[in-house]
Amino acid sequence: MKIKIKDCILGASLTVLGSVLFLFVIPEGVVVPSSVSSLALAPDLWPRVLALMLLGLGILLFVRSSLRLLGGTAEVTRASSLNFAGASAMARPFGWFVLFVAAIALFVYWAAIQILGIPVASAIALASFALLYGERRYGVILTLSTVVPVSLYLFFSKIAQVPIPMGVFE
Amino acid sequence: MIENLAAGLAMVATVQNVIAIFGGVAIGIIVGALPGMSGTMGVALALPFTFYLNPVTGILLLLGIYKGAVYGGSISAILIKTPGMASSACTILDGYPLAQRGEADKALKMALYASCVADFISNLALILFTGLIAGFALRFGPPEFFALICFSLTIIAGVSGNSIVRGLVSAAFGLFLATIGVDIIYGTERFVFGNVELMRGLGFIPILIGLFAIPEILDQFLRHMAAHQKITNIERGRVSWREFKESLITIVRGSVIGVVLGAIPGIGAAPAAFLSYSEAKRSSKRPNEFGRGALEGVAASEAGNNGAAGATMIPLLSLGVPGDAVTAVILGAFMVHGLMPGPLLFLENLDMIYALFIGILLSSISIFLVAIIAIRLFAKIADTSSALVFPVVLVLCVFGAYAANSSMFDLLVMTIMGMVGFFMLKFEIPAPPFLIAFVLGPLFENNLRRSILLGRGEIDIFFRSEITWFFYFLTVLTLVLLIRRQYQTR
Repeated sequence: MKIKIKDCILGASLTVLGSVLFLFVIPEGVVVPSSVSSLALAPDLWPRVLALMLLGLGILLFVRSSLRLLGGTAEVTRASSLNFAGASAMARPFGWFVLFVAAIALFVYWAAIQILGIPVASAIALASFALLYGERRYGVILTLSTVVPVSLYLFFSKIAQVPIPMGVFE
Repeated sequence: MIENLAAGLAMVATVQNVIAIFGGVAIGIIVGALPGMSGTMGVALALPFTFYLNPVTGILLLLGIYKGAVYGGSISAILIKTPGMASSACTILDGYPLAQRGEADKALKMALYASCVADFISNLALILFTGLIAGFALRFGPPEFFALICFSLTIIAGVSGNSIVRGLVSAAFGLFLATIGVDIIYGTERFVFGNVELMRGLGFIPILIGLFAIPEILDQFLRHMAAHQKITNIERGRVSWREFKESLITIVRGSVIGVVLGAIPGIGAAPAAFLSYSEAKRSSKRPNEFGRGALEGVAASEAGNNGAAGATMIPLLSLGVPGDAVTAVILGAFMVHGLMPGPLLFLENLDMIYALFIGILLSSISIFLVAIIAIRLFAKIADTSSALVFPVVLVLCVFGAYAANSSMFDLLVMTIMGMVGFFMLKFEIPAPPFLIAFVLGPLFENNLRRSILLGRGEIDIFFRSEITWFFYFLTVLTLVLLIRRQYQTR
């Protein structure tokens, strides 16, 4: 069985997450009324069980992968190479950089929707992502960026009767 | 009975009804294939148009839309890994890998055949066993639901891939996120932190889209794909008779699972699809192929999915109790026309019931005929450059996630879940257990606590009927078989 160092990372992260949930998030986030008569009915019982489950699974993963690493029975992949799911051998040049830009772009897209509305923000996003993917037929990009958001806007607002926010263009 | 059948046939055999069925199925397939649009939404939108039609035509139109949408969800699940309906999420597991290796058309056709067979079996169950199945469904109370959900959660092990630990991690995440909102027993807040939007919990559609579609869109940047590379090659498209025959038992089993679960109000088609898939994998001669593009996997999920779709009409027609959100809308259609589903409907409008039954059977044929054309049109997506398709999919996801609840907050949830889903993808944490747990988690917890309340803290309420024992037995059996298989594969 291959155990990669990312199992250690995952195990450690889950252990921390489970602990944080159990010790801080649940006590702060769940309102437990004083009238609760039975522990089994308490609103925070089930979340606590799940937090403990995450904690336990994290410890299991971490200990198992650590023992295998220490015992020399694991195939080690350096964390820095980030050999995720076999993609690195096929990764595009600057693939991770472009990915990072795309991830930021998603949040920028969400923020732009608040200001520009869904159709306009979508037109810009569609063109941006097509360019990021490497498409260089600018005519096609321009056509799609116009036709797709407009068609979807018309479908959802006129046929499905879902009011689509238009931002500053209301 | 012959006279009733003849009367029903005379009532349904009009041009108007045939157009309603075929047109409804066509609309439903389009609606179902669009992420964010669902069968429920399609049926709800069409409801006002049925006010001016006669009852049989109106209800057949709504049923056509529903059944078309159930199949339509598989199209986007297979082609772009974005299920159009929640119940099609399971089809991604093998449908998308098939599409990636150039067999999108084959996957679409197997999904179609499985859907038609399952839909037909479901319709037959509706016609022949409504009373029997409805009586069984009536016996379900909180302890029985709890036992059923316990068994359903074992599906997680079946869809966890090679690592059950990772599957459990994914499920635990899903269960935890499902607790956000308002506590059902005490009405207090859980993880709301003063945000009004969180009081209704996290939306299912944004979670679904964020978990499946967004990671795929992001992952494309890491793959060495030329801008003009097609998503898939659709040359190899035929499902041979041998391949269909090999999957037939899986389809029938999935249909039966779908019928049983679909007839129980509140369960829905998604658990039926996953349970059918899990059982198919467990009993397959080639279980290792599941999750990598097994045609049988596509057949199993679509059979469970479509088997449940027709069965949701069983509690509606026999008891007047809607099985899910769609049948609740259809109940509205009945009431608008002055009809009340339930035992009285069988007494006072038997010819109309038979007309609906015949129309429903016709809908299975119409799904096949309409979908064969739809596949040719939708499969052209596979011929398009990936650099154009994925940005379009992203925009579609945004419109769809917003349209589900007209909420900007849902867009934020979708985006954040997209990031979470991407990290899950990279750390090889499977997404399907998350989805199943997110759907079943509230049912599990709520029925557990209701049972405790009913039993006043006594534990023997969980073992009060043979139904509970039956599902506990299945749960233990499934776990034993899974653990044994794990040891055998090592």
